[in-house]
Amino acid sequence: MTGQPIIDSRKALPVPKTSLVKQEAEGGCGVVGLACNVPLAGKYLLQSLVQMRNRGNGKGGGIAALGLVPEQLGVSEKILREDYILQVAYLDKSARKQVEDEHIRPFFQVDHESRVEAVADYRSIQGLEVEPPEVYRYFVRVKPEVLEDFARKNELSGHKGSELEDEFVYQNSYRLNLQYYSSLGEKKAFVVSHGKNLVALKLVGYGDDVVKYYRLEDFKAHVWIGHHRYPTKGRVWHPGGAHPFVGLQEALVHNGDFANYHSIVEYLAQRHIHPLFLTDTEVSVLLFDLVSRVYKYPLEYLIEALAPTTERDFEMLPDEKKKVYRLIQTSHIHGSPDGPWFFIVARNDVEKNAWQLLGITDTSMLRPQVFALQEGPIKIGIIASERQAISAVLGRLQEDGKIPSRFGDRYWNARGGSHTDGGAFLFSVRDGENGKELEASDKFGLAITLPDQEWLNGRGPAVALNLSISLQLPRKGPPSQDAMGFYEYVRPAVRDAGFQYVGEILEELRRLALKGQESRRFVIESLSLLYDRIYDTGKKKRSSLLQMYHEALNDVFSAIPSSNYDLYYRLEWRNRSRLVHPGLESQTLVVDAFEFPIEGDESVARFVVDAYGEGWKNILLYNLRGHRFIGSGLGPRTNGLRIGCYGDVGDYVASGIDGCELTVHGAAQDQAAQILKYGKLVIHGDVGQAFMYAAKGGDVYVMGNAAGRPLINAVGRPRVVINGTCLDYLAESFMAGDPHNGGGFVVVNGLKPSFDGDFIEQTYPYPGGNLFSLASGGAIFVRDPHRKVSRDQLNGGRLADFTREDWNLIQPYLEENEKLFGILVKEDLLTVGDKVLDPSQVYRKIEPVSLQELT
Amino acid sequence: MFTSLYSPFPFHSVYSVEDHKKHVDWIKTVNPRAVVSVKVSTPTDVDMVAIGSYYAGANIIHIDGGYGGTGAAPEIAKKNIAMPVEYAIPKVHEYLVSEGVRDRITLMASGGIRTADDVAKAIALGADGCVIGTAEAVAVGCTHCGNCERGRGCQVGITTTDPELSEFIDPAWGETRIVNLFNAWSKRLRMILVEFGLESIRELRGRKDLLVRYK
Repeated sequence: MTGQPIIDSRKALPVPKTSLVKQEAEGGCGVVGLACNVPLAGKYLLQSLVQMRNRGNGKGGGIAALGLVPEQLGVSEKILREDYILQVAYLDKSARKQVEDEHIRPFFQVDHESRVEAVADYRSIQGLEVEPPEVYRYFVRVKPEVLEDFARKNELSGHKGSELEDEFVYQNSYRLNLQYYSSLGEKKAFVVSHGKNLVALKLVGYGDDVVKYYRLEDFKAHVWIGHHRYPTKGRVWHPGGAHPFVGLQEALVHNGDFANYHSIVEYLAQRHIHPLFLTDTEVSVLLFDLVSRVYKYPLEYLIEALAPTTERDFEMLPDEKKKVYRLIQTSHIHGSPDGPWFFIVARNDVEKNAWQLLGITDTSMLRPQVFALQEGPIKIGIIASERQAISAVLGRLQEDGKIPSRFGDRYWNARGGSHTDGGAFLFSVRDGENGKELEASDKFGLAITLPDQEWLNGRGPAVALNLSISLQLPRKGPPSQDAMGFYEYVRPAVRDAGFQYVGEILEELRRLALKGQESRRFVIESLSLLYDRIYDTGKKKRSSLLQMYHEALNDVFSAIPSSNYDLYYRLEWRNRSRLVHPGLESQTLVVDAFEFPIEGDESVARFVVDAYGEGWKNILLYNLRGHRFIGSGLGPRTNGLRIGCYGDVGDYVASGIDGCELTVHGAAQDQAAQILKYGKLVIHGDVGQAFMYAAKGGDVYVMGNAAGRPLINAVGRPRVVINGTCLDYLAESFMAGDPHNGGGFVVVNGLKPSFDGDFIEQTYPYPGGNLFSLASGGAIFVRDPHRKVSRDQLNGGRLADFTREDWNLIQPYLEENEKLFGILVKEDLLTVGDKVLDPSQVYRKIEPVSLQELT
Repeated sequence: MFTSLYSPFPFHSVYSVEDHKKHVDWIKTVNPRAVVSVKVSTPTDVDMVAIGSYYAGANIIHIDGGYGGTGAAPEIAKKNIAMPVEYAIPKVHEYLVSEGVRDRITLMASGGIRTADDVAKAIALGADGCVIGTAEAVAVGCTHCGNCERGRGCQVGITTTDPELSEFIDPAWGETRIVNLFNAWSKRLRMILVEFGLESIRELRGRKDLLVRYK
């Protein structure tokens, strides 16, 4: 059955008298979503929303939950499965009877109804200034005679019952919203959600306020999405404008802003769909519902309709796909959102009995996004605007003992509009052999898998430490201080032994750390190596080991006293006023960042500035939870200052540094190292968007991948080694002079760690279509022995011969790279297959083409 | 009357208003005492841009209208981009008043403000002050030849770092010229205030009623 009869049936719907001008405008937001094979309580969403508050302004927040628990709703499993959960928000409580009499009672058989629980007084939630609407929840089915009548009137008799019912619910809600929530008039009530097994709630406040106000801390669901809004127009913000918006069986939250709102509105109007809440997000979900439910596109084509594959990525598609995609694009281009956007969708695929969480990013990759997957006693997938939001969710689950580790097993970004992953990923909760299962896949249906490894499952009985390791410890420790020797020595044990044994090694290290300051230093260095380095972990999940190392490091740090005569001096939020100048020149200030504000005048970043001002040259931060701007504000010529960061570093780390050395033990986020001028930066993980934007120098080493737009507009002399790859737009408008004459360059190795601890080649050393665009200086050296990088990926640059001179230039940096990460120049970089090749056969150079002056 | 263009943005780390807010947060971390001024051009929704910047933490919003121009902008763009500042100022001023935040942010205007009367008009329309570009350059001898961005293009020695060309202007002489300009302006502005019986230029802000449209 085509969708045309359904579209025609909407002709009868009244058209709003409102103007087509966007009433509310917004650009910013924080979004997060999670999906799990067991139902999770709302409190696990809470922390991530709290940590992303800086992405919103408290003028709108909301959540949606999918895959609910019947007992919590007071209904049977059958009703939960078959009924539509119609939730109406009453802004004017007195309107309820009228709304029910006009829009609910006549058409629906109401199997259950109740008022959604909320706190007694909204003012008890700090920051809530506007009273949230009272929400009523009705479990409904359309009365058979009403449905027959509907089918007859609209010539829809050939349609399946469920399709008819879906459409009726949709149209009925539209009528209700039009009548009781006109954007230019009195707002009395609106439908918040009406899908099956799906609820959405929103208010004027932050996303976490919704969880608190509607008492969702213990409310369980398999799939959650949450959102903070940053609207910029309108004095009175209405909850109806907050996200998520609901189509029918899907709820959508959105980070970004469209340029072609009008075009989309007209596209929808041609199909008799009229937005009522006048924001970008509403039309997004209306499009989604149209393509999914009315046109019945499979997911891959739906994603293509919203985010068309273009430019080089289109050319790289197989011919079959090109034909279909071209047709889709021709039909849908006017209904495709243009501009920066990132959608997270919670969708009930009723037909397939699957609950889905999707993340779809725009084709220019203008908004940040991160995905993560962890498998253990439960399997959980998370999508967020920022990586630290993911850590917040996993951290809370780990603290409550629900999962073994606060670290995911895999993290990745989507490459928007790409032929490689389609710019979209999906977590799907389905029935399996033993209850529900979670699967992760990309736009093309390719599964994201994890190797079959064991996770940490309680500590078990104490195991006697192998005598040789106990003897080694004193030998490797002081006075020889050979942490690297210890690390190399203990690697086989870490690979072959079980978790209990590793636990024992860590216990020994903890004990050793208490023996004195030199021992403590040895232990910190050894633990850092275990934490940072990539190596074979045998049958054990690395994420579980990281949890153990993380705890050991924290224990060692927390045991440091606040003594003036030790190598270490520890401070935390509560005793921060005890900051004085260092007792010894080489003393390290260790700061527990946990209770420090993430930003602002009292933030840990400002505390670091104060500490430097007091004369501290060695600063170590731990328990970071998204703390922002670390390294900013230190001023010029900070040579000799060393900063180490443990935990979840926030955005803008190392921005503007001029001389100091900063190490991130883990991943960095967006906007890291903006305008970095001079100094050394080492990141033992990935970095986010716009890395080193407009940097002027620096010796920078990144273990993992960079996201979109690294090193754009950089000048001078940055020398960067990225061991992974980038999404796209690497070094656009690079102006870094002549690399052989004091200029800058970027080395891209295109490698990734395998689960066996080796470094293996990624499918493409550089997957994007815009490499070194419009650059006028500097060079890119890419490890590309298989000659995968092609000319059509360049835009104003050219591939040149890689000379001995080039190798002499980058070799010292690759050797330092080897010291920092253990990525061996000979065995990992220059070895292809089983042969060691000459560098000119492995590396390729991309240099700028001199541009004509624009006159 | 005007349609907004969505033109490529050169600051690749800022693609939405929350990115802008993040940058302002960053500046305030680097220097907590910094006064942050956000300069924007004047699209049709300049009022929304202003309120977005306010929420991002800006202290000053500086709107740059369509009649201004950089020496380096191509001719076709120079006079045809953005809303004339006369439309933009009251639009932003009145919107900020209606949002209740007018006195929490300073509104500066620029774009073709060339005389003291222009300054008075801008303030009467709702600005707190003006930023002067071309007029100051002309005061020190600019002949408006439009070659500013070329290395050795400025024949008067203003917009150049070339060691030879920068000799053309004596900073002390330039200082007197600019002082003269602003002295003359301040005299004229006082004349205007006296005529309307106002005690301070602050009282002129938003006094659209004192403006007359010539038919």
